[in-house]
Amino acid sequence: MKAFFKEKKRSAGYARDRMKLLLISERIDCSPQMMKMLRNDMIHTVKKYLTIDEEQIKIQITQEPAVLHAYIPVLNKKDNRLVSSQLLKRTDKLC
Amino acid sequence: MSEVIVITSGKGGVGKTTTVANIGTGLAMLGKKVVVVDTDIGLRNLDVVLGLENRIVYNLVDVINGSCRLRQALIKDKRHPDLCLLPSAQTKDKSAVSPEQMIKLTDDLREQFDYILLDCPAGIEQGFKNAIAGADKALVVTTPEVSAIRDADRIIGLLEANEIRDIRLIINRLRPDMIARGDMMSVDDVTEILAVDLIGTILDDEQIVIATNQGEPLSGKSSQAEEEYMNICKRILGEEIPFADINRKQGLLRKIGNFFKK
Repeated sequence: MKAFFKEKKRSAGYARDRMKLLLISERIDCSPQMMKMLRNDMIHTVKKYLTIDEEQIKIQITQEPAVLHAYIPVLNKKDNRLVSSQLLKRTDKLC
Repeated sequence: MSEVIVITSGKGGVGKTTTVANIGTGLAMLGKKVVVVDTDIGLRNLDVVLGLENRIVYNLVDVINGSCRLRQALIKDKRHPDLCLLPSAQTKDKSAVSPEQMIKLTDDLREQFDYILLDCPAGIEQGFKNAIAGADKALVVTTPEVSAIRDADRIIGLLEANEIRDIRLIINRLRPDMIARGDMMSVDDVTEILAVDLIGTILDDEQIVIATNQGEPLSGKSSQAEEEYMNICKRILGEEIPFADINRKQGLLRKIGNFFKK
């Protein structure tokens, strides 16, 4: 009965979201998978230096001209020592 | 000053040929000298939609090969004295014509006509390259479906890469009832996704099928779709005609109906 009254997400919304993601990635030759990786890498990098609100992050590419927009809200200061030690560990791993 | 406009879509079956027939007829009715050119070599179509299939003697490939004069291949529509058709060949394939030859042809047509409308074949191969070679502007036809939108986006990219900057969008086969209940992408959705300027929105209208069956575009039955084709023509001529609000066309009765459906 509950489901009967519940507002379903209609198919047009799915279509719109799928197309937006697909076309942006096709225009710049960057697959949705790569976009996801780019997003993760950016969050990762910024997090080394700043405390950010991950829930609110918006990363998108607009066209004509193609511009990468990143909206990353910063929360507050982070302990510097922690950042540098984490940074060292990561560079180690990379090498 | 004459204009060469290519009507293209990428995907087949979205209504390119019907659009060319209707806009060509509409512009001629508004007093412009118009030629519609079927550039789909091998798959002749525009002649039947216009009801001129019985009058073809020579075709586009004959003109390009020099087998006949341009004047001989042009078919004058008796119902609209300002409208001419240049039919495509059925026996040859797309490689029979080169982009350079198409540019030459469109330049010759510019001397006689105000508007040269090119009906582009589906796809992005040779036929598409030929059709866009001589064009100043493009009208991209799409429907509110994912496949047509994806192809339209490819086409827009290719047009821009070929220095055609004036690109306008026609969204065809819209169903206000489906948009209202959220099962079809709206005009705003499609224009936002494709990021090009809109020039017209055509409803899914059975009158278009009837007119095509009869070979008489814009036969004056004043359906919504035919009215909108006329609006597109006026917008091509530079008039500012407001767009019909298809996104929220929901009368009181339908609203009550939807309420009970929930």
